[in-house]
Amino acid sequence: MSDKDENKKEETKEIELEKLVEERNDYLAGWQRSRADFLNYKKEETERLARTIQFANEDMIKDLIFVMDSFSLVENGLNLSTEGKDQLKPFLMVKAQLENTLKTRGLEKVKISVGDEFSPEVHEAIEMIDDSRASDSHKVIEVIADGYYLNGKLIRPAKVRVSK
Amino acid sequence: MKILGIDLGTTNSAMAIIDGGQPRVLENKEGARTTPSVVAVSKTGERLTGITAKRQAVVNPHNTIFSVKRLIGRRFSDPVIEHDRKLLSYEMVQSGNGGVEVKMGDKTHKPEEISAMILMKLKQDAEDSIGEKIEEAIITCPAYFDDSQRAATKAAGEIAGFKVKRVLPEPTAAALAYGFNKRKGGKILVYDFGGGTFDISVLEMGDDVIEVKGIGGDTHLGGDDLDQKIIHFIIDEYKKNEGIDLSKDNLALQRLKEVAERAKHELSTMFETEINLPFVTSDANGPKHLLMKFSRVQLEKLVGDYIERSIELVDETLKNAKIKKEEIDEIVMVGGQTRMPAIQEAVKKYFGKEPHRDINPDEVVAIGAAVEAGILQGEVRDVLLLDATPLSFGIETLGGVMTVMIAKNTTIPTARTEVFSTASDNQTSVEVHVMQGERSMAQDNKSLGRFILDGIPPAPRGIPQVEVSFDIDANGILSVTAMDKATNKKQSIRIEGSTNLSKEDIERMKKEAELHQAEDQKQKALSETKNLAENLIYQVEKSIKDWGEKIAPDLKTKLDQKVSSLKSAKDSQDVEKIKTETQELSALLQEIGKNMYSQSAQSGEEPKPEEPKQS
Repeated sequence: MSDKDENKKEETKEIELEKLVEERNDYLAGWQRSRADFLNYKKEETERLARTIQFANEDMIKDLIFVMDSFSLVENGLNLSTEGKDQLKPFLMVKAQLENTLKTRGLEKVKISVGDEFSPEVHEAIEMIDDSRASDSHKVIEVIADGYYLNGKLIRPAKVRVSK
Repeated sequence: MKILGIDLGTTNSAMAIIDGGQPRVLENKEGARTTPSVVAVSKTGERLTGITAKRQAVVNPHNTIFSVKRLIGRRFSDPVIEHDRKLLSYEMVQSGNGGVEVKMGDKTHKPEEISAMILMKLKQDAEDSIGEKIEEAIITCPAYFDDSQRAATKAAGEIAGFKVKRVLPEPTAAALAYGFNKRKGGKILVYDFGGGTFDISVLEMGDDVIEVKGIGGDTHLGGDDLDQKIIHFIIDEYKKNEGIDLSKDNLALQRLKEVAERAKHELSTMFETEINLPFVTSDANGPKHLLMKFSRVQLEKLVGDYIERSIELVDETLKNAKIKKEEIDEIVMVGGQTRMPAIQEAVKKYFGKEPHRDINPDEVVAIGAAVEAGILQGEVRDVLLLDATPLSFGIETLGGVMTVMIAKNTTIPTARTEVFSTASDNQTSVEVHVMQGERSMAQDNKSLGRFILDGIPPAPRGIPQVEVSFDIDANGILSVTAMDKATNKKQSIRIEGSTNLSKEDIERMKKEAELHQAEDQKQKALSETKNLAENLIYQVEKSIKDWGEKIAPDLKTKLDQKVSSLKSAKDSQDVEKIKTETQELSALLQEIGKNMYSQSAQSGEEPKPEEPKQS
């Protein structure tokens, strides 16, 4: 065999090797990627599941908030005598029970009081009215319904009347 | 790099991406899947977008911009603008070149700048959600948008910092979400009943293109109109019964709006609901409450005109497009209002076929935009193209049952190992019969091969542990190995081409399995019951052999009788009979223990409590 042939063969081998190395790198990268994809997917799934569990009851809790609103309306709307107030007590105990139950499920009231600056982050303005008592505009002058967080996420803003 | 699919709606917007080959709707920062298309500048000069802008709308009506999509790309002299100016609470001015500008705070903005603010929020929230930068987007627009409106929509995306890959018609997006682009030919009608607009589009599937053949609808008909109808109905009823007009009371109205929406949603699943508002208002006589029943029939009567109108518009659109309703192959429902059963019914009645509504109608357009993004992106170059097994693989086990080792549709390569045992005493070999198919009984499936593992040390049945492993590599080559765990003796078989069955064969085998499902289940149940019976007979016979002398003769006779009657029952095909006999024998078997203990008690061999030993 001549040197020339030998060289050529060597060259082909080298090219072949290069190709194989490239292919190997491709395969390894693909393998690593798919492995990583899987691990990431698993992590995401775990997180998603945790979130799903945390907020699975959101709709039902929102419905119960509606019931709590009505409780509050009854409580605030009745103009009762002392005797009447005594009679109402058991119902307020039921309301407290409901509140506590929801609290253990991660429900938390938005802290708010009359005179607070109106903040659309957590408040929803229902009405704006002229109120001579309010010294400043854009203040909460009445809380119509409480706002709530569920596990830290605002699921209902507090509904408020705002001063003009 | 991901492309964001955006449904930029008149009232609400939504966004989705392709994730792992599948479209996924992204939540915004507030954790909601849709974002109100509302922008505002607060008194303090702060810009608000989405739900926070909406929440402050009543205290800041002149600086809260909603429905800006109605204005985008239009001339100030456009009759639509003329009409909408009366409905919108913010101020509009004519720009230098005859376009529309809206006033917000102390500045005027082009509609596309307002839309850009919404898009910017979506971009930011999407980036936060997936944790990477997003630079490209596909934005949808109504099919009736002209060039100037589309250009303005594109401009909005660019102002927001996106490279807008495409402005995609909403109905096309909806069709893409349902994968109709994969079918060649055919006509699709998209019925889009949103919050504030009603759009109809007729699409025709061409080769790789979806062509809009006809459009129609009403830009001022939507779910909000239906809500208003319900609210007015409640107000009228209340006035009739209580003599009080709630329409003057803002607070009552707010609560009515809430209950009207709730009632509408509830009546999508229930036939009757109760509208219940304590302390809705008060008069000289004290507080007043609202309590009334509201039924689906009432609701449908109330909004029937709107539904009829929508169907008339569908009819009109088809006529204009010169397409007969019989030519429509698929109907797609878009928009939250299409959840209403009466609307689904009306559409179904008109076309005589079921409309598609499997994908959330609020999200279907955004999902379709993401699907388009996926098509543009192309699949990531993937050296690994993974196959799945078209049919299940398994082995034959006691009673001729097919025990599945690798279920159908499992992505390969994959492996699975399970431990089996022997069926009779002193069995020194097991046969591993490998098969493929979906039928419950081994005989009905395709046999791929079999082998024998011998040299298992003699032992009572159930004691030897034979580990059977199935391994399918990426090329579909199936290796089955059986190993006796006591001796580590192995035997295996290699089956090539196990996954490349012809399509027809796969379909036929699946169909057969479906067809025979009921009888197969019965067969399998019979076989399993027989196995249980056999097992019990074995146990009883073993007990008699082991404890024979200690069992009372009459009990022994009874056992013998029961065993032989179970044996004959076992040969019948009567599952119930075998079950009853098995239960009876099982109860009798427990007698052995009882019997033996009482015998030992009689002979005074009662176990004594251990006493402290004294030395």
